[in-house]
Order: sequence, then structure tokens, then C-alpha cells
Amino acid sequence: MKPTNIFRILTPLILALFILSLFSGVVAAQTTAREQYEKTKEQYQVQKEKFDNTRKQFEDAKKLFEDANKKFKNVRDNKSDNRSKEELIEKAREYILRAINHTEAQLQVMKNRLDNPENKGILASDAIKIIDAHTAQLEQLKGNVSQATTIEEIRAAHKELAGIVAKINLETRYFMGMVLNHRIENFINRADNVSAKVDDAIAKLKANGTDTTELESDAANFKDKLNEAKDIQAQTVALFATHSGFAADGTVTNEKDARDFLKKANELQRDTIKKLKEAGKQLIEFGKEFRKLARGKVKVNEKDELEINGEATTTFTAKKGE
Amino acid sequence: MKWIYILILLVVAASASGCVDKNQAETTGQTPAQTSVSPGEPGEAAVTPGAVVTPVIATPAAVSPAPDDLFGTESNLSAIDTTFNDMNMEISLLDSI
Repeated sequence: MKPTNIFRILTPLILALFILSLFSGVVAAQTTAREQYEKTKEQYQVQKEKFDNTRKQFEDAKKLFEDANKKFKNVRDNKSDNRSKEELIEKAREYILRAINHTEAQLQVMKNRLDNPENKGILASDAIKIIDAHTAQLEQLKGNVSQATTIEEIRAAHKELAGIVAKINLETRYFMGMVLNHRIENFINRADNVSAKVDDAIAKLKANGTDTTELESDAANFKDKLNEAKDIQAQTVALFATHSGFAADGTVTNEKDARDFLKKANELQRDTIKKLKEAGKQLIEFGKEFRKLARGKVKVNEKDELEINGEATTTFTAKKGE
Repeated sequence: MKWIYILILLVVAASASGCVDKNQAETTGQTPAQTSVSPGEPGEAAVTPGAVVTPVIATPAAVSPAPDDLFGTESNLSAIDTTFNDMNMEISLLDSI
């Protein structure tokens, strides 16, 4: 082969490889996103399993302590028994240590949720720092409990733990409430987009002479339920803006106010979810009817447009009775 | 002849850089609506629209979505339910010991 021929072959080849290399970034980005997703999923699974395991261990230790306590009370009613007292201290120690492990596992589940790329930036404060501070506090308490020699020391540790746990329980509900709000809002945004695409699809079918009465009714019901959900969600967002009982960073400032606030927020979020589920049912009804009328392979593309036989409803030409 | 040679090299290069058959493998069994899920946790599909392409998460609804659930609504609602349940994690200690 002559050198000129080699150049003639190599030039387009290098050009083609150069063009391909431009796409390698996209491919790499997809791989990274996928890896990140897998990692997040795996981490959540680990934390959730740990949480479930520590809950079981905690409940078991709690029961053993209660049994030992009953036994100790019975003995004390008769005569003093040092062996029962020692047993009681050990069971109480075990119960508190298990409770600490369980609390730490709960914190890790929450941390995992907040670390999820989907939830980055939804909190104004650095919740991770608050979680880490609680974890450090619990680790220190764990040391105190391990070294405690009297029932009074154990009781003091339990009291301290109860205070920390009460705050963590409230903060968990607050932070997770924010995560839930974010998720609900994403759902509503997408539902708005779907709503517009549903209208497009109806208009196209109608233009082709199809009777769309049922479809229109399903779409209207879907929108009604969605609007109801939006109204409730707006109330939830307004309520979270007040964050009564919580400081701006999400830490508890007043337990009673915090409880009242979370109770209201919980009720509102429950109602929103109920409405979204009702809207979802209407959308499924719409899907059934659309499939029936379309008489073809129906699917939804990345833009949430309905497609019949691979053609988006914005361009398709299906006719009634086809 | 040279074009066949170039074509073969292109296919090899494309395969090596992951341009060929990659998305197909990743999206097998997904409905288009479900390809827009973003990282979440097991048992749920997140609801972020337009997010990166990630696999459908193994919920019964996601694995075999109802044929009429064209928009993958059920798996998204299931994700919301899971978050709601996590929100109610609480540790209940004894009043005193």
C-alpha cells in the first residue's frame, strides 16, 4: 500500500474517531449517573437493613430489661438481693446501648436520604452537620453507659438519652417532611406536564372525528384531583415556612410547638398524597380509554407525549375505526 | 474496500466507547415514562422528571406496571408512600427505668 493510500484511509478514520470521542463524555456521564444511583441504592439498603436489625435488638433488650425489673421488684419486696440488682444494671445497660445503636441507625437512614443527589440543596441548613453532632453525642453517651457502675448512673444516662431521642424523632420528621415536600412537588410538576400532553392527545383524536367524551371526563377528573392536591400542598409549604417549634436550621426549639406543627404537616401531607392517588387513578382510567380508542400500540415518550405505533400524538394521524 | 474497513473499525471503536447497545441494555423492560426516574432507594422509583436514565426499581408496580398506567404513576406514588413511611420513623423509649 502506498503512503498516499494509507493517508486516504487514516484521515477519515481519525476524523470518525474524533467525532466518536465527542460522545464519550455523554456515555461516561451516563455511566457515572448509573454508578451513583447503584451506590445510593446500595447504601440505603445497608442503612435500612441496619435500622431494622437494631430495632429488633432494641425491642429484645427492652423486653429483657422489663422482665429483670419485674423480677427485681419482686425480690426487693421480700429481701434485698445483690445478684438481682447486678442483673438489673446489666439488662438496663444493654437496653440503653441497644437504644443508642437503634437511634444511630435512624440517623444514618435520614443522612442517606439527605445525601441522595435527588435531595441535594432542598434544605437551607446543613442538616448533615446536625446529624453528625447527634451521632457524636450518642457515642459519648455510649461510653458513659459502658462505664456506669450504679443504677443511678444508668438512670441518668437513660434520662439524657430520652432527651436526645425526643429531639431526633422530631427532627427526623421535620427533615423527612421537607424531603417529602420536594418529592410531591416533583410529582405535581410532572403531572402538570402530563396534563398538557393529555390535552394535546384529546385534541388530536377529536380532530380525527373520534368521540372523546370519556377521555375528556377522565382528564377533567384528573385535573380536578390534581388541583385539589396542589391547594393542600400550597398549605403545607406555607406551614413549613413558619417551621413553628423549629429553628431555621431544623433543630428543635420548642418540643410542644414542634409536635403540633408536625401533626398539622403530617395531616396535610397525608391529604395531598390521597388526592394524588385519586388523580393517579383517573390518569390510569384515561390510559385505558385512550388505549381502547387508539387501536394501536400506545406508549409514552420521554417528553410524556402519548405515542400511537411510535408516532407522537402531536403528529399522528390515527382515524376512528382504523 | 476501504469503506468496509473503516466501517468495521468504527463499529469496534463505537462498541469500545460504549455507544452501541448500551442504552438498549440499560432500558430493557422500561416504559419511556419510567426511564426518567432518578436515584432513589430500593422499593421505589423517584419522580424527578427529566433526570438521568436509571433502571426501574424493583417494586411490583415498577417491574410489571399496569398496562394502562402509561405514565408510570403508580411507581411514582409508591415512592412518595415510602418517603412518608420513613418520615414516621420513631424510637419509643421507656418512660423511666
